[in-house]
Amino acid sequence: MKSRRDRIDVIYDILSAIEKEGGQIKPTRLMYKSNLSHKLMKSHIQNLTERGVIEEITTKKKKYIAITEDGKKFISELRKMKRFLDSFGL
Amino acid sequence: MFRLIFSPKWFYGIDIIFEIFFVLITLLISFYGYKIYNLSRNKEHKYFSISFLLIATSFIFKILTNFDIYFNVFRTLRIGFHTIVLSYLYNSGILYVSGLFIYKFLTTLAFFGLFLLTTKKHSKNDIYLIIYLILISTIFSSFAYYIFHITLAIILFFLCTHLYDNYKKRKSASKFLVLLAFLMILASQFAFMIIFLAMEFYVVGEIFLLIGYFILLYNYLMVSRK
Repeated sequence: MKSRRDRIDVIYDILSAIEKEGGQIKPTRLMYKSNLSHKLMKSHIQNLTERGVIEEITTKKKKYIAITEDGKKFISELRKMKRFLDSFGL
Repeated sequence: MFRLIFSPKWFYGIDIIFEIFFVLITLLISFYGYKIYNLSRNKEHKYFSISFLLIATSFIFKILTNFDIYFNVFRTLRIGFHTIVLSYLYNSGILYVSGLFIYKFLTTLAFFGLFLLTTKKHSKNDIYLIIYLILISTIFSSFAYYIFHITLAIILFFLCTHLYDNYKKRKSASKFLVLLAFLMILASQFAFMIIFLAMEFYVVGEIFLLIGYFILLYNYLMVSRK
């Protein structure tokens, strides 16, 4: 059985889902890709937008969530943290 | 009767330099663990950071007590009168025993904490019971120093078996390095156990520790700079 994801895992899943889609993604697709409820995703999106890690872009009635330059650095930092924890079996 | 000094005379001070190095490495890892905790809010990460902070604190106590014994007592021995020297030795003895007690207790607690974190499943009662046993073994190790090293070796052995399982699940260089680092720390305990044969085993133990903590530093640098 898979263990419960902590905040690092959830944030990592959100950011890597955006990255895999070429840097921007539709909110509904992100919800599906990061396996989150609407409520949880909204709260994480708000938090990450305030941090400047992601931004909301609206073009021709369509809304996208895009990763920023800071976001790209942040996801690389998260990868290091996950690798570090993994080396200790955490 | 407890022994006051385990180090050979030529090694006085060198071990303190080694231990300052251990303090810096463990503080660095503790700080990084805390940084991760700030982001994840995962209690496991907080306890990981605390465990390394405890190791750093324990070494600070060891450094202070060894510094006092190596330099103050023996300087007094050379220049002081016999009676003053005896009283100073007595005071230093108390400081040494209490300082070493804190060092041993914090070290055992820290490695036990790391062991709990890797094994994950345990009840609160188990934890209280083991903390009590750690306290008892630390108290008795004042009379027989090797009890501390045996206790620590047992905890480290189980910790290493979990790290080995972790390595076996999905092999990676950093997992191997962490396993190797803790194996070195485990090996140091075997050297410390047999100091009664020759004081040089203290040096061997400190060198194993140095290698172990250096590997932990190397792993940290390798992972955080990739």
